[in-house]
Amino acid sequence: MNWQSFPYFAIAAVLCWLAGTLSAFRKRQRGALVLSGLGSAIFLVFIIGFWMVLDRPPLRTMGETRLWYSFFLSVVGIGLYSKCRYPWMLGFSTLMSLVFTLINILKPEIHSQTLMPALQSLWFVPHVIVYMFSYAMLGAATLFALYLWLRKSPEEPSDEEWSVCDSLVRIGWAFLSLGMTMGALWAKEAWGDYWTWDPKETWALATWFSYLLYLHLRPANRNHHLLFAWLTFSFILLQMCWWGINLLPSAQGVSVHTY
Amino acid sequence: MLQRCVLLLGAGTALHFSLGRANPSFLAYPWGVILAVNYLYLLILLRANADKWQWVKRWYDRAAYITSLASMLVLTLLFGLIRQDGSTEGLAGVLGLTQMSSSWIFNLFLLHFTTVMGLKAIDDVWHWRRRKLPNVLIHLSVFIIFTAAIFGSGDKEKVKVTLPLGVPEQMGVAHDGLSARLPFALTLKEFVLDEYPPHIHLYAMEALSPEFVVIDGEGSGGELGPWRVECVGYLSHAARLSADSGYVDMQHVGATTAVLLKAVHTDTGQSVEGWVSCGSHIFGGSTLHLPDGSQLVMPQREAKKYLSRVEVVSAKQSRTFDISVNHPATLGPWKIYQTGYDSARGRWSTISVLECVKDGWYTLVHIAMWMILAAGALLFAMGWGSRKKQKEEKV
Repeated sequence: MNWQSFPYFAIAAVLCWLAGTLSAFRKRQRGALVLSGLGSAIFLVFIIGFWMVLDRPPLRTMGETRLWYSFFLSVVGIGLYSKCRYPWMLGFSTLMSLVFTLINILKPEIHSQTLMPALQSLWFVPHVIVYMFSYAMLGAATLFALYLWLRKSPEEPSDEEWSVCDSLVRIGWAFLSLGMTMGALWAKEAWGDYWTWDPKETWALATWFSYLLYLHLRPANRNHHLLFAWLTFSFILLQMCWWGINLLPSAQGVSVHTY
Repeated sequence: MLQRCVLLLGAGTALHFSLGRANPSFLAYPWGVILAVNYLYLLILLRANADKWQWVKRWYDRAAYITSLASMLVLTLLFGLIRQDGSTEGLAGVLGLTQMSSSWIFNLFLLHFTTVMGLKAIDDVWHWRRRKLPNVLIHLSVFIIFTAAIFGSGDKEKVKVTLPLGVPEQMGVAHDGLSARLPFALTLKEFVLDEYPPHIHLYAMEALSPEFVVIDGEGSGGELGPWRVECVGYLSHAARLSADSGYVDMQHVGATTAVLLKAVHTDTGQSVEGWVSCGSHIFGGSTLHLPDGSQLVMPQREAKKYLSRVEVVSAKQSRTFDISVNHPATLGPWKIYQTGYDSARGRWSTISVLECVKDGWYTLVHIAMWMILAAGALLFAMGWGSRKKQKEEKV
């Protein structure tokens, strides 16, 4: 299994996800869950096979992190659908997974087998996977917030809707904390510093502060315009941390997190 | 709250203009520890008297949280947006924001945030409730980490040592550029470097192709642009005795990797054969020129793993360690890290670059880090709570 075989797995997975979404909108819940789950399983089979062929975890390049992001988005979408039965949530997660899958098909990257010594650590796999899961949860939270914010009926979000949104942010933030801490423990083992204010670390901390601020603002605040705008802003910071710093003039040539 | 922020900003600016950049050397042992203990005592004292002194509560109420968090977010964003090159040009440079970690403004706001977090953590412990365990762990661990970052900032010793093979060395270069003596001597007994198989790229239009083929033995190869490349000869230890000759097998210092490649044009069937090598500090490299003007080239091989066998002799003991990246050696309060080697010589390097780090706050910060991991796991486990539960939790 190699990068050339990815489109076949991706197309099969995307077809399953689309069929699952269609079933969800037709109120066939079991079918939606089975089909979407099958799509994610196909995607996971590719990731595991790719891992074995590469002889290293596929977590090093931007394209490889997109693989995990597509996978986790689909899993989070299925989890949310099974919990709340919102068909559009499955649709959004499918759409987002589709976009990231398409980017990987249209912009294939060279997937070298080499893994520099600093990346050969027990922390490498959990650090990146936990981050990708966090990004997927917070991405789902943003989509959910945008839906609640921009939907046609101008009603206030219900308690149940707030609860879903807050839970997504809380779990996403918990994983963000885990990812950052694992990175710090790894950095200490690799070169003796927990934290070096590398641009990636700085933006990760800004993202962490921003979501933490939401979690502290939320209990005493029901102004959904402010809170949803804040979640959207936080997600922009997250994008800066993930790939935006590669474009930022202040970070050029000074980050060890370039890939 | 806004007044407090303005005050901190004013104080930070005044300190910057009167003292220059914040230099943490005054926090070197034992002063950092003494100040940290007194700081903690002060926070406990304040919290203990919070019912008597109502103003103390304003230091860890919701408004204080939000303000301190928002101010840290703004400063961290500035940290990310302003290039951290220590420049003194422009407003950011004048205010010391081009070297944020040693800026008085940033450090005063960090101390403020830590104080709010510390008072909240003590309050959490004071009003212990089991279901708030993740929140207590987060507050406590972040407080410990930031306290250690502030008061331990003058306490860390980092000494870089360049070790030649077989020569004992006790001197190194500290992070301030001055030479420093270590409490032990290091001797490099052996340096081993394992490399990834060579990559062959196509060099055309003055640029290296992003695509490459991996050559890990005879018969390996692949396609590069219009050329099918196949390895017909592989020498892991090769030497070229003159520029016109081919490579021969030679177990010699400086021996390089050389591959005999056959390139066949996939459209025309035109075929070319020749040696390609990355060369070494002793023997020259070689590329294979193709009829269309392009070349097959082998960049320097990438290091897979490098390891130094080092003998460490101190007044109390003598031990031998195998040190590699991600696997430092521990000697009392010191950790010894593998950081580099002579990359021009690659696997024939006769020096190893190590970094010796003494961090008195290591254990405390490590415990706090694991507390965050525990809190994250608990938050995940309890994350999908009911609305009522979430209201009560008020993270």
